[in-house]
Amino acid sequence: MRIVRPAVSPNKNSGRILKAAPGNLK
Amino acid sequence: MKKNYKASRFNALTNTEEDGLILFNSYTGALADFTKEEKEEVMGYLKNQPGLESSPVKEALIDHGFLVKESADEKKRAEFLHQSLHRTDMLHLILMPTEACNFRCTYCYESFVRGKMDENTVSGVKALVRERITTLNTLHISWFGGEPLMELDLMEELTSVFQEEARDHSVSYSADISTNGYFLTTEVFHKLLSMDVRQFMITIDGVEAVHDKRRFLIGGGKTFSEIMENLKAAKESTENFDLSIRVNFDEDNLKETEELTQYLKEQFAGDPRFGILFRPVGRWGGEHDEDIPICSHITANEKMWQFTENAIDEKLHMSSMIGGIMNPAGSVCYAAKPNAFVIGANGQLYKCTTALDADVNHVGTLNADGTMDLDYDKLISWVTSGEETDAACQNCFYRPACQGNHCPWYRALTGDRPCPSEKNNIKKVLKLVWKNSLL
Repeated sequence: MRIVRPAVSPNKNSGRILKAAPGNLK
Repeated sequence: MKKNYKASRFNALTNTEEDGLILFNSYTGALADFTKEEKEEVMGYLKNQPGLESSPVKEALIDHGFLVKESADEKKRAEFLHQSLHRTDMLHLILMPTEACNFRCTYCYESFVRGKMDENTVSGVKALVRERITTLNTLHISWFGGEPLMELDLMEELTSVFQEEARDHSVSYSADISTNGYFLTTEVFHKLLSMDVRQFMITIDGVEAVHDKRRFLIGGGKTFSEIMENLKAAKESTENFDLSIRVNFDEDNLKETEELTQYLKEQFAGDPRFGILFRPVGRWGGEHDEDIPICSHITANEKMWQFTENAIDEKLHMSSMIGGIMNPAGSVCYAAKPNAFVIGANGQLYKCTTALDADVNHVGTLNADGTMDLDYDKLISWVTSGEETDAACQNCFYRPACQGNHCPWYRALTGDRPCPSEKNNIKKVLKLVWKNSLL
């Protein structure tokens, strides 16, 4: 067993820019 | 009293290449792997088989949220997580120090009608931060544009206010930048690090000949060699930073990405500060939209992860953006977050960074004294259009991460659910996150 990513407190993301549209926007 | 547990509804799982198990939970963001031998025990706990005693594996499953108390109302947990986005101790400002750009990329959706941020808006940004800082724990700035490095002096002027205010009020301050990388010389790079900019997003669309046909200067000049020299110089730094190399692909450069991966491997393999991010180009409102040879939805989804796997196999790291997206609320777009605003060069307030001409996206104006005149009806339409009215989102295993709000603009325009590719390809992506963790 290996914890690749530990649990984070659900109360803890402050935001980055990833223009995330999953398709065309028109 | 003995507690009873059940498998979380927010689990996703897949197998490792050695027939072990990879387990992910979207409410805690945890990811764990188990050997082939441990797999049976884990599946027993998840299926709540009787007669299984407690063990270190079971304790870990509980600690990381894969098993939850029988009495836990997980939908309420997700609802509460969504409500926590309304906390007022965080502020995320996406600033356009200029809306001008020295590039004219073929697929760009921006119109470059305005230049440098005007003085009233600069005063307004400073006043807004000074007013809000007393109630904040976290201030995050995203430098955006236009090409923000065309106005580095203004970025420095604003940053000195942000850093001073954050220091005086014990507020955690951080910043990221989306830049074309052309002006990112060693001197500028280290200046940005001193400005607490630690996260960078820079686009390279292929090897030199491919990139220079897609991402060129006004007038058509080449850009690849300049950007690559800057990236290589950044690699020489001993500082810590997180730089995503974004590759925007469509049918034109699709077949060239393998060559790019080979090239980038020579430069950046094994350096975890550089991560690669493949994203399909979309028709997002630019003047050349109809000319873009976009990939079909199916091709885009398949290639995005196939390219990523090829890169990892070559010891290139995957962008940290992917891991970030898989955190609780990590897939929620800033456009859907109540405490995030885009501030244009003329003080126009937006929610979305792509729909810059849409009336519903003109949510207000920033005044020179730092006050905001907001149209709350427009604002509300951005921050309440997710899972609230979508039963499928409410029942989804990925709900805590995206809350139906990965792209509110896509949902508004098409009526379709804006599911992130990470969710649609979760088994593949879990394998890649796992593989990436072994590098």
